[in-house]
Amino acid sequence: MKYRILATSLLAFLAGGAVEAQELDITITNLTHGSHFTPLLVAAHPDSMHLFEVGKPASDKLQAMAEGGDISGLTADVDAAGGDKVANPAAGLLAPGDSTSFSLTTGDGNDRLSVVAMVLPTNDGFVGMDSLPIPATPGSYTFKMNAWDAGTEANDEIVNGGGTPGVAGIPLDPLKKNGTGGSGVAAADSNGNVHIHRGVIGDTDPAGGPSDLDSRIHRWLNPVARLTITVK
Amino acid sequence: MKTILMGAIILGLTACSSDSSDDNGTTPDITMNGYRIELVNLTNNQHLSPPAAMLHDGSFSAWEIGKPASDAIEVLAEGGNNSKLIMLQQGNPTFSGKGELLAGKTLSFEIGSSDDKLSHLTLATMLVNTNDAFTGLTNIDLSAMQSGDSRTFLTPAYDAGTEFNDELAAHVPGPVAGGEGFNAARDDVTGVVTYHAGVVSRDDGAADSALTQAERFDNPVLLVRITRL
Repeated sequence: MKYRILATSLLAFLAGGAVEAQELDITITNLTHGSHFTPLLVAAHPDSMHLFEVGKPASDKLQAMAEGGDISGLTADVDAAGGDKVANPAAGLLAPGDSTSFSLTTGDGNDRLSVVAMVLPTNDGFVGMDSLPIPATPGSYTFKMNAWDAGTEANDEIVNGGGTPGVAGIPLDPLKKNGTGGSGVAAADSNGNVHIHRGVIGDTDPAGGPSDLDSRIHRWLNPVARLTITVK
Repeated sequence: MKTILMGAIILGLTACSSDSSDDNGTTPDITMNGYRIELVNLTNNQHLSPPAAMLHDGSFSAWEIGKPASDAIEVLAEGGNNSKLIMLQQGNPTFSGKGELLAGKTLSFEIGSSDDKLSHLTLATMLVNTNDAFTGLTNIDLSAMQSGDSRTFLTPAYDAGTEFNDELAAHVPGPVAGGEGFNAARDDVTGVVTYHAGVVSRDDGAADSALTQAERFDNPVLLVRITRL
């Protein structure tokens, strides 16, 4: 009996299956020790769309999000696809350890959930989930999210205000623990597609060295975020 | 001392109750609510301080992401001393390891109670070659487990957020450094419990670090297998 119940719920879960509208309560927690998230975009959408896809080149809109935290382009994409969204639920940056909770009502057919936000300070790193099948069975589900590299900007780790797509450098460190005068870590990304971020290097020299980031503060290990979905 | 004794008593009771024919009418039958816990240290060279385990009701959480660490967790995470954490559950079943759980080694013990309300597990231990890294589980509900059921957890390294990760020999208490353990000052950059970012080590550019490549780690750092007796 127990096995059958388990199997049934597992099937329902795997099927994703939620073709009808759903009420979701969502909590996202920044698990990192020294990295902020820029405004999150959380979207329920058909399986025909993606905010990003691993192993594929980033769209211009994803690049704008990953390099400068600008979610306006991706938000427009969700709207155009008839998706449902919550944009910027934390009303700004989500600090290390902090959580943001919100509700999302999904329309018919919007049975995939995606999440993106830039990880600061990085060149083009972002936390993300691509097209998670939204569980159909009421209950609480927890997932972990990794840090991705958009593959659009060299990870030079120079904090120079550069957040516009195509402009080298990191916009800022919200902790204000960055150094200056770094010579630059990477001149180019080897992988131009979306891939797992290799992490930042940093150094312990606040006035030089290869990086403007502090290796004792700005590194992380995966996972970098927790995603909890309560299906009502 | 008292808490060590308490752990020993629990082990003793477990040993009695494992013989199901030995019903003398005075020993609580902890197989009503008893568990075998196995811990495997998954790191390369992060010895784990004497692990603390405790059963409690669902109202206790030893730490929470985004919240400042309790004094008990700070003392454990900076110096490997589990006594304050165990004292928080005085009167409930607790266990303390007798020594460090070395990298690659397995520790197995039993913990239980005749009170089935004490169905939640908390377990914590320090990665001793760090400033304030720890791992474990807190407030895990075991009440749905049936006798013979087994659950396995792979736990991440947490940062207590109470000590800056300078990796200096003076501030890392483990055997590679021999520095200070607990210090009441709180000087970390964010001041709350988070996941740990890993250690840098002098082999990766932190010239004054007491750590080498050998002390680096990735998630997960501990395997926890729980079997209901």
